[in-house]
Amino acid sequence: MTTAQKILESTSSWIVALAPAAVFAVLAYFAAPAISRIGFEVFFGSIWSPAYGKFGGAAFFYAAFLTSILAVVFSAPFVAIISIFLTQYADGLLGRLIKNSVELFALIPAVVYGLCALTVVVPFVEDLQIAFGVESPNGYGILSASIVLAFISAPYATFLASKALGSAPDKLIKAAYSLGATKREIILRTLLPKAAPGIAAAFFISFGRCLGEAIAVAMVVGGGAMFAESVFSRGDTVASFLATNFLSSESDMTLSVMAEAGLALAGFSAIFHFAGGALFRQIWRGDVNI
Amino acid sequence: MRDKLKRRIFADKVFGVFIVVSAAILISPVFYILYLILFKGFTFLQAALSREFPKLSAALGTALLDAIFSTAATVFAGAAAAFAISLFAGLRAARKNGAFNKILDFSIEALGSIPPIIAGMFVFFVFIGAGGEFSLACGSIAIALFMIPELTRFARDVFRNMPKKIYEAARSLGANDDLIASKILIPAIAKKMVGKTLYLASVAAGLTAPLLFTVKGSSAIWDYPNRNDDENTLSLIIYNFRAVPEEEIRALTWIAALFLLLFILVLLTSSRLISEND
Repeated sequence: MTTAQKILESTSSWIVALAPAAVFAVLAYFAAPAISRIGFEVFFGSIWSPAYGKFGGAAFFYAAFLTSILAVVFSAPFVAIISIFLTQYADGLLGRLIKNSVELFALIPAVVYGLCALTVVVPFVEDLQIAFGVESPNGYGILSASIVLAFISAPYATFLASKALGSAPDKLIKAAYSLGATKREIILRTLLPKAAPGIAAAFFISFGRCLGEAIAVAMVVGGGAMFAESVFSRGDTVASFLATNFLSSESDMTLSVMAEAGLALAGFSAIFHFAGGALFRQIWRGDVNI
Repeated sequence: MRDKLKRRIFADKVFGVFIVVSAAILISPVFYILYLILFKGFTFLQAALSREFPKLSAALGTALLDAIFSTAATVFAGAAAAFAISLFAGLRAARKNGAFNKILDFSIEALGSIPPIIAGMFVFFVFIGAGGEFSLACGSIAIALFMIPELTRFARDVFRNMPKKIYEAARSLGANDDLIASKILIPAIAKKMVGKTLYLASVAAGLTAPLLFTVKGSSAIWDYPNRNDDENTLSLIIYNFRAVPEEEIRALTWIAALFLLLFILVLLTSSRLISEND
């Protein structure tokens, strides 16, 4: 190895090792003025009005958790059925087609999902709002954001759930067959219970990703700093709020509060990522990367 | 007894049909999305090319071409930086043990958990907030940050899974660890790394949030030829133009979505071709 390569190896390793700490440190540095002046008002306060010195962002966190929970619930049937199909029934042309389609699903950018949602999901939700007698229906809101998030998060959750289901030892399956079990019985009574921690991890990690999704949510959630009273209400998640307001911050304090919100968002994402990873390692093989 | 067996076999068949049919139905939205992008994209592209929409036609030859170039430049620059950093960091993570390696492994996971929008905020605070300007270079840094964890993890795992025989054969010929790394390991995984980098580049091409804070973009580019200084990528065109009041101009979002999808498919196909030839 030449000296240049050694320097590259050392420098690259340090860059990767320090990058996450640098991200958190920079956000913390810029969040420090907000933390010292208003404390944690951004998490617990309910009024967002920078002009009057009110920086309550609890509604954004509430909306972020609500949309992410709904997205995971909406995507659950997709994840369960497709991952069972991919690991147990994906033979022949249909199998290849669905496998490639899931990959394509994952590659469609969030902004394109958002664009398509404006054409399909928003009018659909508007019809629902009319049917439920919602005042001034326009289709934007928590429900639309949750549906889009479900589409965005489903392929990755499916990939992880398939890994969990597919990592069952062959011996176990053969033993079940030798005892006369049918495929359905093996799936429902052996594979699913054993893979349950992995599938739960898939949803956990998927939830963390939903929290951080900004653009597609910003396109359909409607905006606003109020608490969502129903799934038809408009609002903003932390990420969508940052996407739409970060660059138009009118004061250093507002920017600092946004850095604080960003820091919290990064923290939550990391918690769900690591918790999901720990859960994943409890299934048969612990070598599945997330 | 026989009836019970028949019932079990029947239930098994019904379950199988249910899973296959449900999978086919659940996957259908992806085809509808593709249809939407292709149909609307080509329809508006045709209208723009035939000068049916004059403003859209004007934007096509200038704004859209700029955005295609900017997308490619940002993604490839970010991918090149991520490739170099990840290759060597992955090599370090695979070759050595110790406390630093544990930190490295943890950092790879921690960096992978950071949402793209936060990567964009980080680059904004470090490079733009400190007196810099919005630029494609800043966008590339954000894209590199997005790609590095996955690519480093990939490189580390490929290096770790190299057959032990290779090391033993090289050592028996008198090569030391550094020589093995530079003459055998790096050349051996270069093609795999290029394939993986192109795959991740296809994902990164659609990123919008980090580019919004680093490249920024604009929805005023239809003023051409009075070009302003704002750069746009394809994803930024979709985001920034979605709420433009004029329907004619808003159509640019669908054309951008079409070109973005084509760009992603080209990268994905290249990645597959390289991986299959390895």
